[in-house]
Amino acid sequence: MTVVVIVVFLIFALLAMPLAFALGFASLGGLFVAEMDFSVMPQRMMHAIDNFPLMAIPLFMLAGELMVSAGIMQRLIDFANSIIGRVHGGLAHVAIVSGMILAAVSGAAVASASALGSTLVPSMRKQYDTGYSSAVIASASNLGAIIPPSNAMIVYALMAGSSVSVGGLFMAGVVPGIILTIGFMTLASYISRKRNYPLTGDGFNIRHVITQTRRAIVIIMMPVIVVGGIVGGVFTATEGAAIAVVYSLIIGFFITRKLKLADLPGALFRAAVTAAMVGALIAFAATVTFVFTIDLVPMRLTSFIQEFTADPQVFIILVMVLLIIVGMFIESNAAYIMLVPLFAPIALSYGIDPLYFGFLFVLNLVVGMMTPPVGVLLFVMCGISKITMSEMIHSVWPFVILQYIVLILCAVFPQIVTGLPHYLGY
Amino acid sequence: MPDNKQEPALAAGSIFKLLINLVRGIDSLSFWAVVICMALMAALVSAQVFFRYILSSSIDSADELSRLFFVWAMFLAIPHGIKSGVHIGIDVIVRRLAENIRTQLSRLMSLAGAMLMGLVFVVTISVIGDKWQELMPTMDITAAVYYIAVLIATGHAFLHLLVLAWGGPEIWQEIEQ
Repeated sequence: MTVVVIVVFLIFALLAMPLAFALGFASLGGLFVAEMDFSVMPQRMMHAIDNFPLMAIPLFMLAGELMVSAGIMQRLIDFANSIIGRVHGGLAHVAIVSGMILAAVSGAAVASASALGSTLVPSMRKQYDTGYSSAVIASASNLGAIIPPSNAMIVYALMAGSSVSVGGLFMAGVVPGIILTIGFMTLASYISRKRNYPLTGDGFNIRHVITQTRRAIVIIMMPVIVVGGIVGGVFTATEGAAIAVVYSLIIGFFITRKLKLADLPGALFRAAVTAAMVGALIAFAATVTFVFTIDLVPMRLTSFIQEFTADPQVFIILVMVLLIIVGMFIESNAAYIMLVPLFAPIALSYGIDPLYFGFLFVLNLVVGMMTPPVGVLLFVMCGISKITMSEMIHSVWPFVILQYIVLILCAVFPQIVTGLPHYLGY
Repeated sequence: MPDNKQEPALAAGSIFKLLINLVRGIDSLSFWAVVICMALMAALVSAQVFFRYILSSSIDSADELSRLFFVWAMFLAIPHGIKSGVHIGIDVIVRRLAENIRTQLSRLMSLAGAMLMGLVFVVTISVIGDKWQELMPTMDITAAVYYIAVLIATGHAFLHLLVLAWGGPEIWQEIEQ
């Protein structure tokens, strides 16, 4: 049964059928071999989506859409420019800092890439080459899946079940997210100096910084309130996402006054369609998971891997290598949905901290989103910047290598990941 | 006389033209259904937070209703994702093929996808029949209402995939140019 599911999935997936539908065919294959009624499929699909925590994803996406429609990008850029605009690679630093703050608002890397790319690439192109500009934006956007709130972490926590909390995973991403941000900025400075890029932006002026901070403070406060509330146990991730939506509406209608009623249908629709991509994967994968469960795949896989190695470190290395390969070819949400239910229980059986394993899982796939030749963020940035994939790959390598270094650091020193969540009681 | 330059795919025939118009009509109805479901879901969850934390009470059935709107919004949005191409696949191998073969393969995959959706659509009708007598836990509404979203979504997705199988992967860009 399992073999049929895997073979059918691989055939359709390699023929470029959307992964959600390839999972649908794999489900049908499994049900057919198991001589089960196909009516299992719509029931499993519906139950997989009828899930309160899952509602956080479209709500965070909606908050991100509303914030961008509310014109926060210019405020964020002005704020970052007032602090770090007048240093080597100033515009690159502005992009990275804006990306970090936007990550804490939207929670999605691809959405951040679109918002940052369309706003910053035209100005960056005047100072830097397009490939470098696109690489910086892609790196800054990738922080969206690491810095809380992160939709990737919500999907991971959903798939892992009760073993890991969304709030704990959010906190696990804070320190590595800051390390990555500082790493990106250092790298941007080095490249800008080496290539003699001109200094841009206004000189540092404390009054200007205070003015810009005042304008941006309402945006910066949003992740503080929302993530703070989720981590502090005041509300759930879904409730936090709903608060983020209301907060974005208040900012858009009453503070920036750029959001119009006419913008709402488009924002609601775009958030729904983007979230439905994840929804379709979850829905169609639900029957595959069902077939795997009745065929005892998780148990068989656990005993197979435990026979192969009793060492948790070897298991982690094996999973990381697998995820790097998978991350290069498969959309990350599909990978969470297909692989987390298989590997998270095995990690628990090895006694591995679920937050540590969960974060490494997410970070591996996040880095995969930027790893050539098929990282999805690279395609998004090629579309925005109108450059070829080979130009993009040529420029993005230093940033990809940096992310792998941080990944290895997190794997070797688990305290980087687990220190903060453990301190906060997770 | 059809304007072949502006709408080359529509020159394929009047049945195809009818199909395109049907899909467009369902798209615009479904657009507003998605918008309304998303708005109601966001409003209900926000109102529930306000009631729970500020007024120390809660709205009856708010959780169940918000989940219902969420299920509807997600399923109804899936066919729109087919049109805008958000449902990502692995194209590493296919990208190496000649353009003509790639187009034909894409049409074949769309046809296969349409068959999948058609099958799930038919199966869902029987599930709706089975669930019709069941009520939602906190409301006197049939539990089949959840499955109606699956039915509409698979039917709508079937039509979208049929359009792609018939007109090719670039059909919507060609029409909207």
